Amino acid sequence: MNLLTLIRANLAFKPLTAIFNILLLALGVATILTLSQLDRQLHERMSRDLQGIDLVVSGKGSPLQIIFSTLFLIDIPTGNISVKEADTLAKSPLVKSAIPMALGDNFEGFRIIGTTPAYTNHYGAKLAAGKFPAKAMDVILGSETARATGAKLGDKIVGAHGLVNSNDLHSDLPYTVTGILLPTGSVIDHVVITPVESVWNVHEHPDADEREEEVQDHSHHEHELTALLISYKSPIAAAQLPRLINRESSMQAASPAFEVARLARLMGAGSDLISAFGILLIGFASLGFFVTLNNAINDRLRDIALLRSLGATRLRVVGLILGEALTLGVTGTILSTGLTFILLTIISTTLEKTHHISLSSGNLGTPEIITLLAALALSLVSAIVPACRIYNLRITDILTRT
Amino acid sequence: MRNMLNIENLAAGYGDHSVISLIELNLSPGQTCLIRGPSGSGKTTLLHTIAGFLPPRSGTVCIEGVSIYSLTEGKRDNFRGHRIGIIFQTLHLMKSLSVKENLELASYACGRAHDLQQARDLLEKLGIITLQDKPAIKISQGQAQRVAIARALLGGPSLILADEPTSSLDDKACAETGRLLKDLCKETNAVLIISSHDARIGSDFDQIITLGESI
Repeated sequence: MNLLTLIRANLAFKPLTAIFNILLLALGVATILTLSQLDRQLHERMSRDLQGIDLVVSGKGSPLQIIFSTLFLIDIPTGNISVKEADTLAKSPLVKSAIPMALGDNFEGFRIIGTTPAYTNHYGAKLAAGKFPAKAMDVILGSETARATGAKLGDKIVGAHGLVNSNDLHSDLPYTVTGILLPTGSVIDHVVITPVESVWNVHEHPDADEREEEVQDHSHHEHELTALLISYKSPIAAAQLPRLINRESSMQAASPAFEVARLARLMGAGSDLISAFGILLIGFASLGFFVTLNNAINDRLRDIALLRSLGATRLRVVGLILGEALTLGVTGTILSTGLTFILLTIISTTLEKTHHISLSSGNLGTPEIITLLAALALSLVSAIVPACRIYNLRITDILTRT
Repeated sequence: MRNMLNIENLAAGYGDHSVISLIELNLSPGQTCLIRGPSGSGKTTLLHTIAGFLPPRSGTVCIEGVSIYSLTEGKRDNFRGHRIGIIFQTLHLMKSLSVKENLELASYACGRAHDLQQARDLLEKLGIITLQDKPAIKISQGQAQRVAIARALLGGPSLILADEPTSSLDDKACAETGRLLKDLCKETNAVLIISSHDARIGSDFDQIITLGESI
């Protein structure tokens, strides 16, 4: 026999209350852990997607929508900009680099991005197989796109009109898969990348007879882009360029850092509310521990007196009560990590399906470990008053009472 | 023969007034003693004082030559666990444990290595070996009484204290329990002190103390 045998026997003797308190604690901790992990992982993912992009320029509209549609690929673009205007802007002395983006189609729900090699270079994407597109209508697939669609090198794939999976297929102009990228953990894993000319071809060709010529020559069309991803040459650009674009052009400039901070503020209130609810649950669980242990003492005065009469010191009996609280706490926190894993898996699967955002389910960071330790500490604190009661009990009082 | 238990000039009780006073009591190994008297006469108080639960107002209680109230409380608890076996009026088995575990509890409480063989022998001797895996909550009053006796004898204590051990038993079980306790204590050379107001317990004891009158 050891302390654990006794604790197990005591808790198993009246299991319902113990189970209720364990569940309460597990739910509270799991709520906080899930929110904390979601917040951290989404923040990391956003940082990866935004890294190095100081400004996004697109058609007039909501700046947040521009960021969502071009950098996170989870919204509809606000409109197009002319290549001419984009070229002028790209040549500005305030601009270090400008990556063009032309959106409009998707392949099985994965967005087709017409761009230049600068886009893959920006995200540090490396080839897992094949080669980068050499000509229009060649494509490379992001790692997740290739995995989910099963498309392989050399396959002909057909884009569908729009940014979500639809039946409006461009069957007459298929793309050829020339390469597949290694995973990067960023938005590029979930896209189809092709030279910007491919997008123009698909959307601007007049009829089938002219198609061959169109692929070779687009000079007589007024081409458009969805957006331009800009890096500043100097900090002064941050003050001047957005204002200049918004005031003196038909384009709209959106600062990713500013918009994401605004979004974080908007989401922060909801997130704080749920966190507060989680803390409330943990508080209730601790109170539950206290009530359980305190009632357990009333129910088990005879057992306590028995232990003392058999030679157990006051400290040994106090250790039993603290051990019970710790067992409840440890079981609750272990269960909470399991619950967190399940919750994150469900959320990740949903986000993957709806927005092509994948999250990991099981990485505990420092904030999560602190939350777990705090929950354990709270369960111990809740046992202090019952433990003090036990410590101060006189055996004779109990024996003569029972 | 050296006395196992010496009590001298003992006065003990709860609150401000002394319930009992005992000038002297000396018991040698294997001897038996009955403390009798009406309810409220202080039988349990005397047992609790001998067990080390209730410090006396005055006087000394020596077990195996050790004045137990000169020990710190922790050491006294430990001494009790190793040297004194106690059988309570209401049995006090831990209901959440099995019969076997209730015996182990005695060793665990005082930090003594559990002698599995001795536990089995005692259960065998008391005729309850088949119950060893049963939950304590599922055995009868008489069976529980025997488990409590086995637990008190485990570890070979030099003093057995039994508080009203027959109060809730029928005549047959009462006679059997009295006999068992005496036999087992003789066998292990332990001093047996029974407090009882039950006349059925008989008077076959080496010493009889009657409380409620001048001792």
